[in-house]
Amino acid sequence: MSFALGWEGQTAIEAVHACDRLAPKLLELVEQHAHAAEVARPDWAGPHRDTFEDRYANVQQALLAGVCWVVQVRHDAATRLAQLTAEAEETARLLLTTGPR
Amino acid sequence: MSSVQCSARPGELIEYTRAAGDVIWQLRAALVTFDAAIEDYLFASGGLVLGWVRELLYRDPIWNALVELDEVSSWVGHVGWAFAMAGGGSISSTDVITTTNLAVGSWLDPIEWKPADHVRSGQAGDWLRAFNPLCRGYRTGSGYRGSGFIEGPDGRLYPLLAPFVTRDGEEYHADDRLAPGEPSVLDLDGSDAGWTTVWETMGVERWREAPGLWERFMLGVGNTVAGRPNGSTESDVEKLVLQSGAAPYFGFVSDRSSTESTPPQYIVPKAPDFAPPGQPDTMYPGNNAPAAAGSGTAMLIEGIGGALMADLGSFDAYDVMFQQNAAGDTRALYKRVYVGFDDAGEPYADSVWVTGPENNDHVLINYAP
Repeated sequence: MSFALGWEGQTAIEAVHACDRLAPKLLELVEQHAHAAEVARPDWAGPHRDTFEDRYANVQQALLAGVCWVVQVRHDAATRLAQLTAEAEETARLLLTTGPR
Repeated sequence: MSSVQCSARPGELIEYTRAAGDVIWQLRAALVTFDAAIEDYLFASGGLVLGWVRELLYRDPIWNALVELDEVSSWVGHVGWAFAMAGGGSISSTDVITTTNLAVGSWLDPIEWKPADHVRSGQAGDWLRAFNPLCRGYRTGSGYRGSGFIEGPDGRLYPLLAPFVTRDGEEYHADDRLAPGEPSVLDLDGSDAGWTTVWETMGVERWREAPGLWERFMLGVGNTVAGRPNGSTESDVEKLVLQSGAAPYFGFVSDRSSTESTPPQYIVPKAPDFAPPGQPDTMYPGNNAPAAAGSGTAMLIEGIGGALMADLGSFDAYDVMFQQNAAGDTRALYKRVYVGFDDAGEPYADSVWVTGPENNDHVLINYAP
């Protein structure tokens, strides 16, 4: 953690890490849910099964859409973090060039 | 709604619910941690004011997926339970249960199924072919009465019937809190035993269709004459407590006034279309009195005034049992309970067995003590 990035920088780092944890977790849970559905399917037939398949597909789609959203959030946070890092480096460079007043 | 064959293993559906519950728990924990980090970042990156706004506007769409998953999980568990109930099996059973979507649906959402909408007449002789009372322990003083059918939630037609037995010269039609080992009216004191209830439903229903404008106007005239709605209102029957194998009783005190206003002099009771149960000889002065014809104005006033109250008395409490015996024969016992009021304004309950679709296809129940 770099204190030079300030509070915003630190929270941006935390946000990026949170995204890095959640995205694979979501994929893991999509897989886990698919496995759970496989348990229910044998010999299940009829209109309730059809309803289940529709709702199951919606859930899986929503979870995968969630992964995409997390990637987008990570991209925004990482971009902002890069800006903050660049600003911090510029400040450091100026300090080194001009020296403390 | 058509009947479609369907099958499932209830225990496997319940297992899905358990596994999905684990997914839900993990997802919820992950989202709480994630949201805390993202909200901190939004607050920090927006400054004091904008940060608050951004934090407030923040909506994690993955929560919608979690809610949907939670609902699907609960629903599948409910379907598993409905399959178990419809098939008469255990909820943990992993055996395949094959039934119809209507039977499962009746357990999933039984409120949709109202018995009054499903009573059928059948062709002449159908009832006797479906349920021949002469082959079922018939003897002098006991047997079954009936003529019509009821279409069950599973789409099958069940013959409607009213059992009766005679004990010490008195005819009884139902049990009232039968002790174990005591003879039951429903199996004709043991001469037609072996029936088991595969499904039972109780509730409150409207026993006739909502009337049209003209019918409502005429009902209004009748209601004004009677001073209060004919029959039982929804609130009347909701006070009844129905128990399987017992006579109904009132769970709450009626909120109707015991001292209702006397109707105006020109209003005299007229005979209803069907005599009250057990009172076929009731005289109605309105049928004979010349004044009953009344003036058109009086009738109009009665009609408009009474129309507001018309049709309120179209409700009954019901208890329907669908039964089957070892030979695979089926039958249905459809009890309706109406609420009446005596001269002192005290409520009383009249129970009838419904035996067919016509309004007089009723057998007034005398409960065995």
